[in-house]
Amino acid sequence: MLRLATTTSVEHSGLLPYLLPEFEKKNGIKVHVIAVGTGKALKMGENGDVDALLVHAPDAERVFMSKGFGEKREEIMFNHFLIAGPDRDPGGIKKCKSAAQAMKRLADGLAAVISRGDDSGTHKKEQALWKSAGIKPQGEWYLEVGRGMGPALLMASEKGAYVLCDKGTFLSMKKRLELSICFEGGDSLLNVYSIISVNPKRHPRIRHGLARKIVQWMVSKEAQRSIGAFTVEGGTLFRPLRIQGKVK
Amino acid sequence: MTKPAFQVEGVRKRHGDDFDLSIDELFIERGTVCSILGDNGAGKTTLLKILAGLTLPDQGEIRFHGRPMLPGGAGLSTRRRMVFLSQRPRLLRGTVLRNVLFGLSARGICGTAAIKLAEEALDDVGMASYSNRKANALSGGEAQRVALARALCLDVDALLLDEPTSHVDEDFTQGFEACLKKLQDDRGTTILIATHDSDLADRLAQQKVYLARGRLIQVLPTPEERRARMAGEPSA
Amino acid sequence: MSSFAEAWNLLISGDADTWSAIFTSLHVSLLATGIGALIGVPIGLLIGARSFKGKSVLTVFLHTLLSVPTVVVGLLLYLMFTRSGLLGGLDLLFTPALMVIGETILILPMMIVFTASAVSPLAAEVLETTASLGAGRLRSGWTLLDEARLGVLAAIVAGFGRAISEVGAAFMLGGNIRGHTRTMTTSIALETSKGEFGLGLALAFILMLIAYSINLVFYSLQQQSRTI
Repeated sequence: MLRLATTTSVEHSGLLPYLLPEFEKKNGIKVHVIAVGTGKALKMGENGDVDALLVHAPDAERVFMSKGFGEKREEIMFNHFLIAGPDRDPGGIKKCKSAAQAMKRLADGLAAVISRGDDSGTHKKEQALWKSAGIKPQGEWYLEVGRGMGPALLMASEKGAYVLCDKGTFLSMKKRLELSICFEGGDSLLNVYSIISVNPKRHPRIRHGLARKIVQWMVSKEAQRSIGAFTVEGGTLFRPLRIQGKVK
Repeated sequence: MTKPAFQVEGVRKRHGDDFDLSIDELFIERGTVCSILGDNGAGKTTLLKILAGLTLPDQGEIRFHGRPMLPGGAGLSTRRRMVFLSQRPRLLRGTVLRNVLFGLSARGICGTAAIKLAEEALDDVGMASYSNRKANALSGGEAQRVALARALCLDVDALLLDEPTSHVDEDFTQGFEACLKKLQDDRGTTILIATHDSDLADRLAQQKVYLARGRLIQVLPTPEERRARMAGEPSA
Repeated sequence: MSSFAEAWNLLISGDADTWSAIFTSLHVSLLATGIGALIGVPIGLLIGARSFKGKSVLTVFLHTLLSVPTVVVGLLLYLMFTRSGLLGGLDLLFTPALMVIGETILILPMMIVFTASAVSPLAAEVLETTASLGAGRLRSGWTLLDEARLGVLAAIVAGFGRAISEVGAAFMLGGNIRGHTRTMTTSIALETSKGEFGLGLALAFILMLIAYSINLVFYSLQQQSRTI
């Protein structure tokens, strides 16, 4: 048995039930997946409550590694964040040329902006974007909901608000939402997922043999191909980082 | 000289706000019917419960057949030598038979032997056909009789009854008194009856104890008469 | 309602996730109810049957425990059983066993308080009767419980109801692991957070069906008791 903490966006995408059975069969074990926010997943890794992490907050992950909580980290797949919002686009986000410009427009407060507010990978990305645009988000238009991506999207849909989300979750929930993509693209909206094995030196009870194996396997050709082949509603949600010879 | 059935020494017990039950000395003879008389609220029930070991006195000691009454588990074997019948007896769930068997079962007597004893007792109180009736479907008088049967079937040295005739129907009064007589004659059981019915006491009791506001007013026969009787002299 | 049809389909088709969640819900709640009753009913009996110093303080305290939110119990237990916690070495985090412990703790105050309430009004009379007939403490206690059996059964049923409907603690302590610690309630929470309201409702129907069946069993037990 291997305990893997991952984020709610990965869980909601349905990638793991599709991807993991191959690994489970190969090693004759079951992977127990616990889906929580990125912040909590990192904490669980720090406490040794799980054996491996699949998260998407590179800065926080680097801190994690530097503190010696993790043994091995590999970036395995990516997609992009995007800004979703009401189709009629009251904030004029669709016309923006850059993420920074879009953030500034959002801060004008012409429509509400939903923030995850839960220390998740998406939330961390959102905070980084505000920071690089030099804005401190506050005001009645800024709603910190402290909830997962799914509920945040639903809320944005109900309220006609904007929300930062990962493409994977957006696509998988699209048919239930009255939102469209208002801004996407650019390096600043890159969303990289990594797998990390928890350091057994700090927690000797960690199943580190299996944890190392899953890290190795995630970067293997076969897993990478599977990731690329995973589609929802006809679209790929994640792009593998380790094949086609190039690390983007 | 055989020890008395009950010996009360220096007993005090809080009895409401008004007064305390306070008895310095009292002897109850073995094998007699003793009635405890007094108005309602005089402390008869409290005294009876103390004698039965159901309540602890605040001070003082009770001896039963010479043995001190101990509280809790230590006194269990002594308490099993007697049975107390409450003024308003509570029957338990289930059938009449189950109720009558309870005391037997508590003493480890089960099976056909127990059922026989139970049915005999029910017969004595005129409730033989009620064995399988639901206990909660009985009238007040019927319940009183079942409670009596529950006590009669047990092999005890003392029977303590609190106002036993207050709910007994008239047609059973005679049968009731016959039961008691039978107990006294056949088994030498000491019988204590707390009652305000002086006629009943006159008919049945060899010893009478009068209580008022928690204190002994009079004991008949008087200690002198008792000593005289013991010494074999004719009473005055 | 299409959710109704969806519910039926999930059950009939033997959908692995659904049946796994049903099994987890049932075995966790039933175990918790059983253990809770075994511990709580005797304690409730003792409290209800006697008067003792500090009884009123204890009673108020227990009533307060009835209002403890499940997430609070979940959080406290999580902190105890995390690797670095007091009982971390037991390796119970994210297992059904810890969920059982959590649920048991949640329903224990209920079992105690309701049993005590059921026993209390009968205690004086029944215990006097049993004592006067020469019954020892154990038999007297058992008889009192028997006399109060309808109330005690109600306490157990209420405990089961709370256990099976619980989400907060189950989520935190079990981790909502698919096929392992995912219950009906945590499944509904998950599907709802994904916006899968239809599926959420379908699962809710199934949960209600199960709860209804269990309660039917309890009810018939109560009815039988009434006629005995």
